[in-house]
Amino acid sequence: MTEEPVIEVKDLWFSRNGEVILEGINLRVFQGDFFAIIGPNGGGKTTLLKVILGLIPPDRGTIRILGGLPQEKRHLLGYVPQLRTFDFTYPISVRGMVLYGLLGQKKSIMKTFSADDTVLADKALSIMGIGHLADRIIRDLSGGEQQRVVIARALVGNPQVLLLDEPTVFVDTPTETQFFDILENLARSMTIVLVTHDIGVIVSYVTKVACLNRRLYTHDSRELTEDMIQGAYKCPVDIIAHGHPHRVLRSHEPED
Amino acid sequence: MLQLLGYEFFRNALIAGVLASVACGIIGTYVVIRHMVAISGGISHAAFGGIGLGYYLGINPLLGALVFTVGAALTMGELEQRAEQHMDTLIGAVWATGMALGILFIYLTPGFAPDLFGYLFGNILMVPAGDLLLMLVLVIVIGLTVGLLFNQFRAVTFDEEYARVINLPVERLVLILLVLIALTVVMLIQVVGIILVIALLTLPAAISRECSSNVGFMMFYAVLLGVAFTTTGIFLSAFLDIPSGATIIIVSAAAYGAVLVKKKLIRRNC
Repeated sequence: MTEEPVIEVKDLWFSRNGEVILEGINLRVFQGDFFAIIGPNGGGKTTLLKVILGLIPPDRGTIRILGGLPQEKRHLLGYVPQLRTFDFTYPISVRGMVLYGLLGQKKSIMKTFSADDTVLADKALSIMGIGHLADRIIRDLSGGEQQRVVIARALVGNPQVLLLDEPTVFVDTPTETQFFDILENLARSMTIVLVTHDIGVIVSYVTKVACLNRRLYTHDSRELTEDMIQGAYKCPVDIIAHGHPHRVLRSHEPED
Repeated sequence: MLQLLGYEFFRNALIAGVLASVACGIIGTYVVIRHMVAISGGISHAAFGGIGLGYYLGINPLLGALVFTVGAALTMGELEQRAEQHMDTLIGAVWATGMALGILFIYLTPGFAPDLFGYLFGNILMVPAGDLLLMLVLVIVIGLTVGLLFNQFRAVTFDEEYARVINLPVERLVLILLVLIALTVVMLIQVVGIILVIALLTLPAAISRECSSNVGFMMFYAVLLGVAFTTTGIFLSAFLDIPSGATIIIVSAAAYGAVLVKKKLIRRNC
């Protein structure tokens, strides 16, 4: 049986100002995967996600999302960008911002929201543990709370695939742990692609791991081999927990 | 005061102030929340080219201004998306080119351009009844367009990248928004003039932003503030016999300053 991948990237090249950022990337994400892409800062992780989403055109290579072009299907994905692409002083309520995640599915020109949409938004907020903040204004929230709203916005449309770009970059360690618990639950019902520079967060429930530093080092399993990490980070890393296949890495302190 | 209301020109001025305030409140809200103050300045100064052209061709200068502002808005929007230029640079170019063209056209026009000063600094006490009709049509166009695209505009002005990801027609929406700014600028020329347009476009919205929890309320309060500022300004200028456009701006700026000071003192919004 050959299953159709939900995301398929073939021989993808991308360069910026003459510098090659992504080199011959091949990537297949299947339904139910919890796929972690790790790599150093500047390794091209965010660029890869943006190319997959059709936000920036590749030099060459093909990308298919759910069997179609990114521009046709990307509204069916949930996307959590790394940097806050929005102005957090904007006058909008938490619920209003989450509803915005449903806008892509509205066909009419007015794109009005129904009472059902509000129920969906409140549900997404309670999944993220901030149901009580629904009526607050974005600018009154802390950074960690804002990040939860950003994830709720990605979740509200019940996407088939959730793309997360460094979702824990703005949050403290206890919140980070909570985030990964939430993601573990979500992984039961949706495909997740998680991008991070912090290899300490790759915990037991990730099903596949790849390392990205211009090239993508992968072998379709959750085992992170020394070759992959060394290939990606260009330096010896001795944090592979040999003999613990269910827990490929132990947590480590960030050096920088 | 009641005596003033007996004059048609004064009633027209008040009506013009209200119509301009409606457009300002709605479009100014987008200008403030999407940080488009400078681009609005570019569009409004480009209008001077159109006013010059109007004199040169012997047509209504406001019609020339309409062509130039819409043209400038579309040019800047397109160039930013296609030519990969910084908006900042484009604004500088359009701003100065518009003024330069205006001066050239006026120089080439035989005779004296009578109310040039009015177009530069506004003269709401001289609004002809015909212009009121034009303003009303523009307000209706602006209101209907924003009503129809409200949710999409909110998405694009809030988070443009995400709007792209959810497949909204971002480029088209931004261009429509720029054209709406152009239409608003044309309306405001009569009220405060090309040079003072930016203030009336931004100050009411900037104040209302301080106490609004969503875009709709922000527009509503901005309209009310605009009506208050223009009406106060018109009465003050009539009583003190000083230029109306400048008075409206000073009143608005004083209110904005007061709000900022109050915010600093109380350390809380509103």
